[in-house]
Amino acid sequence: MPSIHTAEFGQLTYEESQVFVFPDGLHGFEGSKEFLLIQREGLAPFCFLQSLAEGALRFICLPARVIDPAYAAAVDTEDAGELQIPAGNYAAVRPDVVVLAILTIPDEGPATANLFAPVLLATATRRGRQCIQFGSSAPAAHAVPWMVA
Amino acid sequence: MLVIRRRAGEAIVLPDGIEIHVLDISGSRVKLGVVAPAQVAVVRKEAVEARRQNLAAAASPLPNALTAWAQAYRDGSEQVRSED
Repeated sequence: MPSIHTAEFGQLTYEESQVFVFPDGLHGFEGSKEFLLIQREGLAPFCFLQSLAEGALRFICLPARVIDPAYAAAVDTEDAGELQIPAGNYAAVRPDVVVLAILTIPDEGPATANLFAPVLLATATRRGRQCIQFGSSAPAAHAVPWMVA
Repeated sequence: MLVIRRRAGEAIVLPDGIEIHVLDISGSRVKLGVVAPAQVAVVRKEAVEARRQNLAAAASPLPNALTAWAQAYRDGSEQVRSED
């Protein structure tokens, strides 16, 4: 089985079937096209997107439903093609498409969640994509009041 | 801001070989074509914000408080469930 040395999770062994392929990478990290979704007991509901291209690159995430149970991510035709799922609105509670908000955690003040550019993971096709919510007022830095250092 | 009125099929020209063509207008949407040298990155403005936010997120250290926050969240949602 393949494995990767990561900065924060040590040596990770994984199966190819666990990999999510991001054909376009993430904005600013276009070279990272494969990620693992890492969940750790004791840290739920937090989860992590670990890059397979770069062991030091990981994103701390929350399922978008944790921040807003009514949140839904719009998947346009370009997103849909990459994710290989139908275009439309994806509620954050459905099991087949995981909707994650990437967290930014400053030294001081509350952490923020990016609801403007959520990451969608399609579990059936093993594709992932950061889907910008064009025309939406969803904030890129939504303060999470219970995450204050 | 410089404001220029253009119709479909017309274009504006910027220095260094950059041209912006109005290809089609339909309802509230406009389809633009951009001619630019290969080294000029053309992206939607929203993608710049997504990139900026991702760079800050990737640089966020794993906080010591993460375990405590996770526990507090789970305790809180437990409480909500028991109140249902």
